[in-house]
Amino acid sequence: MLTLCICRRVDIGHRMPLLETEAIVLRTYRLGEADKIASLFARQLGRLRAVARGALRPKSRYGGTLEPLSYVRLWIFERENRDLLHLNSAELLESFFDMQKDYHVQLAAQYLAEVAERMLPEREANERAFRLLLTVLRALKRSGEVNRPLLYFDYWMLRLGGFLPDLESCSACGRALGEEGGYYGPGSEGLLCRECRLPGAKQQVSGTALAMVRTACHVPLDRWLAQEKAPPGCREARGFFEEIIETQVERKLITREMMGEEV
Amino acid sequence: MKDYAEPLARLIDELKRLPGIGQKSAQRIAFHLERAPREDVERLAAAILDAKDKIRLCSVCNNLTELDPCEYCTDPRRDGEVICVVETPYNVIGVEKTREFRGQYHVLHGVLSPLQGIGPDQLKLKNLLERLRSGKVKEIIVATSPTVEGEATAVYLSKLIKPLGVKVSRIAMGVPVGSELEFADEVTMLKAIEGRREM
Repeated sequence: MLTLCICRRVDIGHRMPLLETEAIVLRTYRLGEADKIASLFARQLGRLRAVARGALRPKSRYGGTLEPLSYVRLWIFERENRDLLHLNSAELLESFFDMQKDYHVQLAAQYLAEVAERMLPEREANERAFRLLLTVLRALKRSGEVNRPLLYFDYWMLRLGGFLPDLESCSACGRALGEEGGYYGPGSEGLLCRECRLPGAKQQVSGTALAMVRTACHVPLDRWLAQEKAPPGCREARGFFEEIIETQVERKLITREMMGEEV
Repeated sequence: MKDYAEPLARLIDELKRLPGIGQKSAQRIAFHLERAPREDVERLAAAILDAKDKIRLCSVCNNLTELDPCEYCTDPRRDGEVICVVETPYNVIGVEKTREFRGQYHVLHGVLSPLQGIGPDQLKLKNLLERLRSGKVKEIIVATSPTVEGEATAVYLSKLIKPLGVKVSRIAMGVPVGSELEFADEVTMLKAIEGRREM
Protein backbone atom coordinates (compact mmCIF):
# COMPACT_ATOMS: atom_id res chain seq x y z
CA MET A 1 0.00 0.00 0.00
CA LEU A 2 1.33 3.37 -0.92
CA THR A 3 1.79 5.64 2.07
CA LEU A 4 1.69 9.26 1.10
CA CYS A 5 3.49 11.73 3.33
CA ILE A 6 2.98 15.38 2.85
CA CYS A 7 5.94 17.70 2.97
CA ARG A 8 4.74 20.37 5.35
CA ARG A 9 5.93 23.96 5.24
CA VAL A 10 5.96 25.90 8.46
CA ASP A 11 6.84 29.57 8.34
CA ILE A 12 9.47 30.55 10.87
CA GLY A 13 10.12 33.93 9.36
CA HIS A 14 9.32 35.92 6.28
CA ARG A 15 11.93 34.34 4.05
CA MET A 16 12.78 30.88 5.40
CA PRO A 17 9.95 28.35 5.41
CA LEU A 18 10.72 25.27 7.47
CA LEU A 19 10.25 22.04 5.52
CA GLU A 20 9.25 18.84 7.26
CA THR A 21 10.17 15.59 5.57
CA GLU A 22 11.06 11.97 6.24
CA ALA A 23 14.54 10.94 5.15
CA ILE A 24 17.17 8.24 5.24
CA VAL A 25 20.68 9.40 6.14
CA LEU A 26 22.98 8.05 3.43
CA ARG A 27 26.26 9.24 4.89
CA THR A 28 27.74 12.08 6.88
CA TYR A 29 30.89 14.16 6.52
CA ARG A 30 32.69 16.17 9.12
CA LEU A 31 32.49 19.92 8.61
CA GLY A 32 34.75 22.18 10.61
CA GLU A 33 35.19 21.39 14.29
CA ALA A 34 31.79 20.20 15.38
CA ASP A 35 29.42 20.32 12.40
CA LYS A 36 28.30 17.63 10.03
CA ILE A 37 27.10 17.58 6.45
CA ALA A 38 24.47 14.88 6.02
CA SER A 39 23.77 13.37 2.64
CA LEU A 40 20.08 12.53 2.80
CA PHE A 41 17.48 10.81 0.70
CA ALA A 42 14.32 12.67 1.62
CA ARG A 43 10.98 11.12 0.83
CA GLN A 44 9.39 14.31 -0.40
CA LEU A 45 12.44 16.25 -1.61
CA GLY A 46 14.75 13.63 -3.09
CA ARG A 47 18.48 13.44 -2.48
CA LEU A 48 19.99 16.49 -0.83
CA ARG A 49 22.76 17.62 1.50
CA ALA A 50 22.20 19.55 4.67
CA VAL A 51 24.38 21.05 7.37
CA ALA A 52 23.78 20.05 10.98
CA ARG A 53 25.41 22.64 13.21
CA GLY A 54 27.11 21.26 16.32
CA ALA A 55 26.15 17.66 15.45
CA LEU A 56 29.51 16.31 16.62
CA ARG A 57 29.26 17.78 20.10
CA PRO A 58 28.48 15.28 22.89
CA LYS A 59 25.40 17.23 23.96
CA SER A 60 24.19 17.84 20.42
CA ARG A 61 20.43 17.94 20.01
CA TYR A 62 20.81 15.46 17.14
CA GLY A 63 22.23 12.69 19.38
CA GLY A 64 22.29 9.48 17.38
CA THR A 65 19.67 10.58 14.85
CA LEU A 66 22.13 11.47 12.11
CA GLU A 67 24.05 8.21 12.10
CA PRO A 68 24.29 6.68 8.61
CA LEU A 69 21.17 4.84 7.46
CA SER A 70 18.91 6.18 10.21
CA TYR A 71 15.30 6.72 9.16
CA VAL A 72 14.42 10.15 10.47
CA ARG A 73 11.94 12.99 10.33
CA LEU A 74 13.66 16.28 9.61
CA TRP A 75 12.86 19.94 9.77
CA ILE A 76 15.07 21.80 7.35
CA PHE A 77 15.32 25.25 5.88
CA GLU A 78 16.94 26.63 2.80
CA ARG A 79 18.69 29.92 2.31
CA GLU A 80 18.43 31.67 -1.00
CA ASN A 81 21.27 31.01 -3.45
CA ARG A 82 22.81 28.32 -1.24
CA ASP A 83 23.26 24.72 -2.35
CA LEU A 84 23.36 23.29 1.14
CA LEU A 85 20.23 23.15 3.25
CA HIS A 86 20.30 23.60 7.02
CA LEU A 87 18.89 21.21 9.56
CA ASN A 88 16.71 22.74 12.19
CA SER A 89 15.94 19.55 14.11
CA ALA A 90 15.61 15.81 13.64
CA GLU A 91 13.58 13.02 15.15
CA LEU A 92 14.58 9.38 14.93
CA LEU A 93 11.89 7.16 13.41
CA GLU A 94 13.91 3.95 13.06
CA SER A 95 17.50 3.18 13.82
CA PHE A 96 19.70 0.67 12.02
CA PHE A 97 22.58 1.20 14.44
CA ASP A 98 22.59 -2.37 15.72
CA MET A 99 23.02 -3.71 12.21
CA GLN A 100 26.70 -2.82 12.59
CA LYS A 101 27.22 -5.89 14.74
CA ASP A 102 27.99 -7.89 11.63
CA TYR A 103 30.67 -6.45 9.36
CA HIS A 104 29.20 -8.14 6.25
CA VAL A 105 25.80 -6.62 6.94
CA GLN A 106 27.42 -3.23 7.57
CA LEU A 107 29.20 -3.48 4.23
CA ALA A 108 25.93 -4.41 2.54
CA ALA A 109 24.10 -1.50 4.18
CA GLN A 110 26.78 0.94 3.09
CA TYR A 111 26.59 -0.51 -0.41
CA LEU A 112 22.89 0.46 -0.45
CA ALA A 113 23.81 3.98 0.64
CA GLU A 114 26.53 4.28 -1.99
CA VAL A 115 24.31 3.05 -4.83
CA ALA A 116 21.47 5.33 -3.73
CA GLU A 117 23.83 8.30 -3.52
CA ARG A 118 25.31 7.65 -6.96
CA MET A 119 22.15 6.68 -8.84
CA LEU A 120 19.51 9.02 -7.52
CA PRO A 121 19.43 12.52 -8.98
CA GLU A 122 19.52 15.49 -6.62
CA ARG A 123 16.30 17.21 -5.54
CA GLU A 124 14.01 14.74 -7.31
CA ALA A 125 11.50 12.97 -5.08
CA ASN A 126 11.25 9.25 -5.76
CA GLU A 127 8.72 7.59 -3.48
CA ARG A 128 9.27 4.11 -4.90
CA ALA A 129 13.06 4.24 -4.50
CA PHE A 130 12.58 5.53 -0.96
CA ARG A 131 10.28 2.65 -0.05
CA LEU A 132 12.68 0.20 -1.73
CA LEU A 133 15.65 1.44 0.31
CA LEU A 134 13.69 1.29 3.54
CA THR A 135 12.32 -2.19 2.79
CA VAL A 136 15.77 -3.57 1.98
CA LEU A 137 17.34 -1.97 5.06
CA ARG A 138 14.66 -3.53 7.26
CA ALA A 139 15.19 -6.89 5.57
CA LEU A 140 18.94 -6.69 6.15
CA LYS A 141 18.42 -5.80 9.78
CA ARG A 142 15.87 -8.56 10.37
CA SER A 143 17.43 -11.41 8.42
CA GLY A 144 21.14 -10.63 8.61
CA GLU A 145 21.32 -12.13 5.10
CA VAL A 146 23.10 -10.15 2.42
CA ASN A 147 22.60 -11.89 -0.93
CA ARG A 148 18.86 -11.77 -1.49
CA PRO A 149 18.24 -8.22 -0.15
CA LEU A 150 21.07 -6.83 -2.28
CA LEU A 151 19.93 -8.67 -5.40
CA TYR A 152 16.41 -7.36 -4.85
CA PHE A 153 17.73 -3.82 -4.34
CA ASP A 154 19.97 -3.92 -7.44
CA TYR A 155 17.18 -5.27 -9.63
CA TRP A 156 14.64 -2.68 -8.53
CA MET A 157 17.04 0.27 -8.51
CA LEU A 158 17.95 -0.53 -12.12
CA ARG A 159 14.33 -1.03 -13.04
CA LEU A 160 13.13 2.18 -11.37
CA GLY A 161 15.95 4.11 -13.00
CA GLY A 162 15.07 2.65 -16.42
CA PHE A 163 18.46 0.91 -16.73
CA LEU A 164 17.38 -2.73 -16.33
CA PRO A 165 18.55 -4.66 -19.41
CA ASP A 166 16.61 -7.41 -21.11
CA LEU A 167 17.17 -10.60 -19.11
CA GLU A 168 15.74 -12.97 -21.71
CA SER A 169 17.51 -12.10 -24.93
CA CYS A 170 20.92 -11.03 -26.24
CA SER A 171 21.32 -7.26 -26.21
CA ALA A 172 23.15 -7.37 -29.59
CA CYS A 173 21.22 -9.85 -31.76
CA GLY A 174 18.00 -10.29 -29.77
CA ARG A 175 18.28 -14.10 -29.72
CA ALA A 176 16.78 -15.84 -26.64
CA LEU A 177 19.48 -16.56 -24.06
CA GLY A 178 18.08 -19.92 -22.89
CA GLU A 179 19.80 -22.28 -20.45
CA GLU A 180 23.31 -21.02 -21.10
CA GLY A 181 22.37 -17.52 -19.99
CA GLY A 182 24.47 -14.55 -21.10
CA TYR A 183 27.90 -12.99 -20.86
CA TYR A 184 29.04 -9.60 -19.66
CA GLY A 185 32.17 -7.70 -18.73
CA PRO A 186 33.33 -4.27 -17.58
CA GLY A 187 31.24 -1.52 -19.18
CA SER A 188 28.43 -3.88 -20.21
CA GLU A 189 24.93 -2.49 -20.58
CA GLY A 190 23.29 -5.87 -21.20
CA LEU A 191 23.84 -9.58 -21.69
CA LEU A 192 25.38 -11.07 -24.81
CA CYS A 193 24.89 -14.56 -26.24
CA ARG A 194 27.87 -16.85 -27.00
CA GLU A 195 27.99 -15.71 -30.66
CA CYS A 196 27.91 -11.98 -29.94
CA ARG A 197 30.17 -12.20 -26.90
CA LEU A 198 32.97 -9.62 -26.90
CA PRO A 199 36.52 -10.50 -25.76
CA GLY A 200 36.05 -8.55 -22.48
CA ALA A 201 32.75 -10.27 -21.64
CA LYS A 202 34.22 -13.00 -19.46
CA GLN A 203 31.56 -13.28 -16.76
CA GLN A 204 28.56 -15.50 -17.22
CA VAL A 205 25.07 -15.45 -15.74
CA SER A 206 23.32 -18.78 -16.13
CA GLY A 207 19.80 -19.18 -17.49
CA THR A 208 18.75 -20.61 -14.11
CA ALA A 209 19.97 -17.48 -12.28
CA LEU A 210 18.15 -15.20 -14.73
CA ALA A 211 14.93 -17.19 -14.39
CA MET A 212 15.26 -17.00 -10.61
CA VAL A 213 15.67 -13.21 -10.75
CA ARG A 214 12.62 -12.80 -12.99
CA THR A 215 10.36 -14.63 -10.55
CA ALA A 216 11.91 -13.89 -7.15
CA CYS A 217 12.25 -10.14 -7.59
CA HIS A 218 8.53 -9.85 -8.30
CA VAL A 219 7.37 -11.16 -4.94
CA PRO A 220 7.61 -9.02 -1.79
CA LEU A 221 11.10 -9.27 -0.31
CA ASP A 222 9.83 -10.48 3.07
CA ARG A 223 8.00 -13.38 1.44
CA TRP A 224 11.12 -14.29 -0.54
CA LEU A 225 13.26 -14.19 2.60
CA ALA A 226 10.77 -16.41 4.41
CA GLN A 227 11.88 -19.24 2.13
CA GLU A 228 14.53 -21.21 3.90
CA LYS A 229 17.67 -20.26 2.06
CA ALA A 230 18.89 -18.23 -0.86
CA PRO A 231 18.51 -20.06 -4.19
CA PRO A 232 21.67 -20.75 -6.18
CA GLY A 233 22.53 -18.04 -8.70
CA CYS A 234 21.96 -15.05 -6.38
CA ARG A 235 25.65 -14.15 -6.28
CA GLU A 236 26.17 -14.40 -10.04
CA ALA A 237 23.04 -12.35 -10.77
CA ARG A 238 24.20 -9.73 -8.27
CA GLY A 239 27.58 -9.55 -10.00
CA PHE A 240 25.86 -8.74 -13.29
CA PHE A 241 23.58 -6.06 -11.82
CA GLU A 242 26.47 -4.48 -9.94
CA GLU A 243 28.38 -4.25 -13.23
CA ILE A 244 25.41 -2.53 -14.89
CA ILE A 245 25.16 -0.10 -11.97
CA GLU A 246 28.86 0.74 -12.26
CA THR A 247 28.41 1.30 -16.00
CA GLN A 248 25.48 3.65 -15.37
CA VAL A 249 27.13 5.69 -12.61
CA GLU A 250 30.40 5.70 -14.59
CA ARG A 251 32.58 4.81 -11.62
CA LYS A 252 33.67 1.88 -9.51
CA LEU A 253 31.68 1.35 -6.34
CA ILE A 254 34.01 1.33 -3.34
CA THR A 255 31.76 -0.92 -1.28
CA ARG A 256 31.40 -3.44 -4.12
CA GLU A 257 35.15 -3.86 -4.21
CA MET A 258 35.25 -4.30 -0.44
CA MET A 259 32.46 -6.86 -0.51
CA GLY A 260 34.41 -8.72 -3.18
CA GLU A 261 37.41 -8.89 -0.86
CA GLU A 262 35.25 -10.31 1.90
CA VAL A 263 33.77 -13.16 -0.21
CA MET B 1 44.75 42.18 -11.73
CA LYS B 2 45.30 39.59 -9.01
CA ASP B 3 43.63 40.01 -5.60
CA TYR B 4 46.87 39.33 -3.73
CA ALA B 5 50.58 39.35 -4.50
CA GLU B 6 51.69 35.88 -5.63
CA PRO B 7 53.54 34.84 -2.40
CA LEU B 8 50.58 35.88 -0.26
CA ALA B 9 48.11 34.09 -2.54
CA ARG B 10 50.28 30.95 -2.31
CA LEU B 11 50.30 31.16 1.49
CA ILE B 12 46.50 31.52 1.57
CA ASP B 13 46.15 28.53 -0.76
CA GLU B 14 48.39 26.40 1.47
CA LEU B 15 46.55 27.43 4.63
CA LYS B 16 43.22 26.60 3.00
CA ARG B 17 44.35 23.02 2.63
CA LEU B 18 44.47 22.61 6.41
CA PRO B 19 41.41 21.00 8.05
CA GLY B 20 38.77 23.47 9.22
CA ILE B 21 40.39 26.45 7.49
CA GLY B 22 38.33 28.16 4.83
CA GLN B 23 39.09 31.14 2.60
CA LYS B 24 38.30 33.76 5.23
CA SER B 25 40.30 32.08 8.02
CA ALA B 26 43.21 31.51 5.63
CA GLN B 27 43.24 35.19 4.70
CA ARG B 28 43.12 36.23 8.34
CA ILE B 29 46.02 33.94 9.31
CA ALA B 30 48.05 34.99 6.25
CA PHE B 31 47.63 38.70 7.06
CA HIS B 32 48.47 38.04 10.70
CA LEU B 33 51.68 36.27 9.69
CA GLU B 34 52.52 39.07 7.30
CA ARG B 35 52.23 41.65 10.09
CA ALA B 36 53.96 39.50 12.75
CA PRO B 37 57.68 40.02 13.56
CA ARG B 38 60.03 37.90 11.46
CA GLU B 39 61.22 35.92 14.54
CA ASP B 40 57.66 34.81 15.34
CA VAL B 41 57.13 33.54 11.82
CA GLU B 42 60.47 31.76 11.83
CA ARG B 43 59.63 30.13 15.14
CA LEU B 44 56.32 28.89 13.73
CA ALA B 45 57.97 27.56 10.56
CA ALA B 46 60.69 25.86 12.64
CA ALA B 47 58.08 24.28 14.95
CA ILE B 48 56.17 22.87 11.98
CA LEU B 49 59.32 21.42 10.43
CA ASP B 50 60.58 20.15 13.77
CA ALA B 51 57.32 18.31 14.45
CA LYS B 52 57.34 16.91 10.94
CA ASP B 53 60.94 15.68 11.26
CA LYS B 54 60.88 14.36 14.81
CA ILE B 55 57.42 12.91 15.29
CA ARG B 56 56.86 9.32 14.21
CA LEU B 57 54.59 6.42 15.07
CA CYS B 58 55.43 4.32 18.11
CA SER B 59 56.31 0.84 16.87
CA VAL B 60 54.34 -0.72 19.74
CA CYS B 61 51.10 1.28 19.94
CA ASN B 62 51.12 3.56 16.82
CA ASN B 63 50.78 6.69 18.92
CA LEU B 64 52.59 9.82 17.74
CA THR B 65 55.89 10.07 19.56
CA GLU B 66 59.35 11.58 19.51
CA LEU B 67 60.95 8.54 21.15
CA ASP B 68 60.21 5.01 19.99
CA PRO B 69 58.64 3.26 21.94
CA CYS B 70 56.54 6.09 23.31
CA GLU B 71 56.36 7.13 26.97
CA TYR B 72 53.07 5.29 27.51
CA CYS B 73 54.63 2.02 26.37
CA THR B 74 57.84 2.40 28.39
CA ASP B 75 56.43 3.83 31.64
CA PRO B 76 56.86 1.02 34.24
CA ARG B 77 54.00 2.47 36.35
CA ARG B 78 51.48 1.71 33.62
CA ASP B 79 49.65 -1.61 33.57
CA GLY B 80 50.66 -3.58 30.48
CA GLU B 81 47.84 -6.07 31.01
CA VAL B 82 45.16 -3.58 29.90
CA ILE B 83 45.19 -1.89 26.50
CA CYS B 84 42.80 0.87 25.48
CA VAL B 85 42.18 0.86 21.72
CA VAL B 86 41.40 4.29 20.26
CA GLU B 87 40.81 5.70 16.78
CA THR B 88 43.29 8.57 16.68
CA PRO B 89 46.26 9.89 18.69
CA TYR B 90 44.17 12.75 20.08
CA ASN B 91 41.74 10.23 21.58
CA VAL B 92 44.67 9.16 23.79
CA ILE B 93 44.72 12.67 25.24
CA GLY B 94 40.95 12.45 25.87
CA VAL B 95 41.32 9.23 27.87
CA GLU B 96 44.39 10.56 29.71
CA LYS B 97 42.42 13.60 30.87
CA THR B 98 40.29 11.32 33.04
CA ARG B 99 43.42 10.48 35.12
CA GLU B 100 41.73 7.14 35.83
CA PHE B 101 43.18 4.89 33.17
CA ARG B 102 46.65 3.54 33.95
CA GLY B 103 46.98 0.95 31.22
CA GLN B 104 48.57 1.23 27.79
CA TYR B 105 47.17 2.29 24.42
CA HIS B 106 46.82 1.17 20.84
CA VAL B 107 45.94 3.64 18.09
CA LEU B 108 44.09 2.26 15.04
CA HIS B 109 44.43 5.43 12.93
CA GLY B 110 40.88 5.10 11.65
CA VAL B 111 37.67 3.12 11.90
CA LEU B 112 35.95 0.75 9.49
CA SER B 113 34.21 2.92 6.93
CA PRO B 114 33.42 1.08 3.70
CA LEU B 115 32.15 4.25 1.99
CA GLN B 116 35.56 5.83 2.48
CA GLY B 117 37.31 2.65 1.38
CA ILE B 118 38.58 1.88 4.90
CA GLY B 119 38.39 -1.83 5.62
CA PRO B 120 40.22 -4.01 8.17
CA ASP B 121 43.39 -3.96 6.04
CA GLN B 122 43.63 -0.17 6.33
CA LEU B 123 43.55 -0.21 10.14
CA LYS B 124 46.77 -0.60 12.14
CA LEU B 125 45.97 -3.96 13.68
CA LYS B 126 49.07 -6.01 12.99
CA ASN B 127 51.10 -4.88 16.00
CA LEU B 128 48.04 -5.09 18.26
CA LEU B 129 47.68 -8.78 17.43
CA GLU B 130 51.41 -9.27 18.06
CA ARG B 131 51.03 -7.69 21.52
CA LEU B 132 48.07 -9.94 22.28
CA ARG B 133 49.88 -13.08 21.17
CA SER B 134 52.67 -12.32 23.63
CA GLY B 135 50.23 -13.50 26.33
CA LYS B 136 50.83 -10.53 28.63
CA VAL B 137 47.60 -8.69 27.84
CA LYS B 138 44.48 -9.64 29.84
CA GLU B 139 41.97 -7.01 28.70
CA ILE B 140 41.27 -4.78 25.71
CA ILE B 141 39.05 -1.72 26.18
CA VAL B 142 37.61 -0.61 22.85
CA ALA B 143 37.24 3.17 23.02
CA THR B 144 36.12 3.95 19.47
CA SER B 145 33.47 6.67 18.96
CA PRO B 146 29.81 5.73 19.55
CA THR B 147 29.06 6.09 15.85
CA VAL B 148 28.04 3.51 13.27
CA GLU B 149 31.66 3.20 12.12
CA GLY B 150 33.06 3.14 15.65
CA GLU B 151 30.57 0.48 16.72
CA ALA B 152 31.29 -1.66 13.64
CA THR B 153 35.01 -1.43 14.41
CA ALA B 154 34.42 -2.42 18.03
CA VAL B 155 32.38 -5.45 17.01
CA TYR B 156 34.97 -6.45 14.41
CA LEU B 157 37.76 -6.17 16.99
CA SER B 158 35.91 -8.21 19.57
CA LYS B 159 35.37 -11.02 17.05
CA LEU B 160 39.04 -10.89 16.13
CA ILE B 161 40.40 -10.75 19.68
CA LYS B 162 38.11 -12.99 21.75
CA PRO B 163 39.41 -16.24 20.21
CA LEU B 164 42.85 -15.27 21.57
CA GLY B 165 41.46 -15.60 25.09
CA VAL B 166 41.65 -11.89 25.91
CA LYS B 167 38.76 -10.10 27.63
CA VAL B 168 37.22 -7.41 25.38
CA SER B 169 35.20 -4.55 26.88
CA ARG B 170 33.59 -1.48 25.30
CA ILE B 171 33.40 2.01 26.79
CA ALA B 172 29.91 2.87 28.01
CA MET B 173 27.52 4.72 25.70
CA GLY B 174 24.49 6.74 26.63
CA VAL B 175 23.29 10.03 28.02
CA PRO B 176 26.02 12.68 28.33
CA VAL B 177 26.68 14.07 31.82
CA GLY B 178 24.88 17.38 32.32
CA SER B 179 22.20 16.80 29.69
CA GLU B 180 18.49 16.20 30.23
CA LEU B 181 16.88 12.80 29.55
CA GLU B 182 13.97 14.39 27.70
CA PHE B 183 16.31 15.31 24.86
CA ALA B 184 17.84 11.85 24.47
CA ASP B 185 16.90 9.99 21.29
CA GLU B 186 15.91 6.33 21.35
CA VAL B 187 19.32 4.94 20.32
CA THR B 188 21.11 6.93 23.02
CA MET B 189 18.54 5.91 25.62
CA LEU B 190 18.70 2.25 24.56
CA LYS B 191 22.48 2.23 24.83
CA ALA B 192 22.25 3.90 28.24
CA ILE B 193 19.86 1.22 29.50
CA GLU B 194 21.95 -1.60 27.99
CA GLY B 195 25.04 -0.24 29.69
CA ARG B 196 23.43 0.33 33.10
CA ARG B 197 25.35 -0.66 36.22
CA GLU B 198 24.38 -1.94 39.61
CA MET B 199 24.61 0.60 42.44
